[in-house]
Amino acid sequence: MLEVKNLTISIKNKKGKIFPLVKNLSYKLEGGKTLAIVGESGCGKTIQALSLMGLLPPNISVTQGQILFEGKNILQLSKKERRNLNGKEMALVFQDALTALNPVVTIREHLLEVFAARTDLYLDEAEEEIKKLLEQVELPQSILSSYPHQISGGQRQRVMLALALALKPKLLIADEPTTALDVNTQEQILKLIQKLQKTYKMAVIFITHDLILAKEIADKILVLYSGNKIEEAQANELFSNPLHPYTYGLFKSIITKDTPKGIPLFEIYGSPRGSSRFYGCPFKNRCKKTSRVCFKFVPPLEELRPHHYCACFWAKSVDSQRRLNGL
Amino acid sequence: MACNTVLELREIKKTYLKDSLLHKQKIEVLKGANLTLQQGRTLALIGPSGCGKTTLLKIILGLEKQDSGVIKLFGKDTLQTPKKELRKAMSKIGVIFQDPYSALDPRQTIEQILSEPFIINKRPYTKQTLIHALKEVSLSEFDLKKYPHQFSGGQRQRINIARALILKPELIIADEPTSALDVSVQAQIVNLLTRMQKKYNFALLFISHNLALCKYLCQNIVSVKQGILTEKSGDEL
Repeated sequence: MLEVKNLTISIKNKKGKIFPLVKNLSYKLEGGKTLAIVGESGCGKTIQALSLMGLLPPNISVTQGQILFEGKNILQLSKKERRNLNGKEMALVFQDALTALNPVVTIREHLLEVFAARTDLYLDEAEEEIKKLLEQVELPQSILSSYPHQISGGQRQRVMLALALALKPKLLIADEPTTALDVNTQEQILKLIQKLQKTYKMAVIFITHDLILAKEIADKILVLYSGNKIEEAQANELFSNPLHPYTYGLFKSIITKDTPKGIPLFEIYGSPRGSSRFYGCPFKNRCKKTSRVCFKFVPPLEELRPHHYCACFWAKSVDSQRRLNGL
Repeated sequence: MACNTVLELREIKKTYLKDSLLHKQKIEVLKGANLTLQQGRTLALIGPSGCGKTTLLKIILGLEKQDSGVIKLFGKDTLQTPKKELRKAMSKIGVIFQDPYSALDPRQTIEQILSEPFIINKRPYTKQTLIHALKEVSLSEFDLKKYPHQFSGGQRQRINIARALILKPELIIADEPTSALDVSVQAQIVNLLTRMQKKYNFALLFISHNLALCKYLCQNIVSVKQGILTEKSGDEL
């Protein structure tokens, strides 16, 4: 359904210099499946989602690659064709629902706007559709007269979902939809997304920095680091056999109920900002497994286990047992 | 033991009035909250959004007034202590806010941000004090001249921690300090907080909705549900 091929997204600074934000990103997503894109803040997760929707800011653009949606390269479509695609074929749920909703417009007007702009429905037909939508996202009808600030965070996120699903898209991109919510509400929203995915048989790209959430919801997980895809595998495979030292570090730094008290947590030292993006492996400055080759060349993405891709010289050079012991 | 008590809340009640077109509705946010925190200990306050965690925090910091009940800060009743003395007691509290992006003034340099607690509390300080505070949270003296937007989320939270610790407080209140951060940065910040607590022996009131994190970090956990506080030891969970 969706195929991203060698996508490079770059930013132009005031002096006209171009810096890549996402480099050679490729992935495939089949209809009805969920792909989770995981990575630290600033790794390019959101930027690549915006590029799918054609919503990149003016100084950021796709400099290379293709985005094939049902076989068509959507980067070559005209503005009008692209606009028709958004909402009807693919929709985006933003991270912060409060800032994504218009504070001076009621929920009813938000929902009506979608139908007025994109369909030929009469007012009463649109209102009937809205009733059905609210039922699906489990919101009461009384919410229609409320303004965004009058409803809770979870309810706002449900309204965002209703807006995204109004035109029954085939692809839903959820950009950290649960980050600002507490655990209980987080779970409710996740279950709702899963339920709606089944109802509409749509594909979902779930962007998050929470690995546990990614495992819960996704069929396949893709790990991004500093704009590079460094690992990709089925969710269960990635959890049982993380190959890249960064992925392993992320798993190890998760606090669970069984994390022993009093022992310092596992840390990945430094931040992506400190790492040089131009030569060698992007993770080299924070990695404990570096060798000379990591400073000279960018590691290629290779299939190190069946359907499990990883870009790391160290992971490639050692066998699985030594790899687990070494990590 | 009594002299070691940093914070004591007794029967704190708070009600908000919600105006609607037809009538005024009373919403009871806190229904008699009791809580005690000793020096060097960590207490977690846990509960879903809207349960009254932030109201409790505001009441402790004097930003909201309780309807009834007693708050004792370092043994002093906040309602009966003269303002000047209360202000002195308040300077022994450091706060780390949830969102590292909005907690720092974008128009101030890190030097100005870190010196503000000294200026407000009319205490002397040198540049060396500020550099020392930054180094303790693994930042360098060159960062003093920078502005908040030049730092990542994790680094900004480190600056928040440095500011909260700069007056050597006896009580730190951390309001979901890691919820806006990535997993890897979360581990760095949690380790930093534990290290600092060991060094300065401050009491830590940790507000969060992450149960696993509270269990790892805190000896006791208070869960807030519909305005009622229930205390449990961390091992009970």
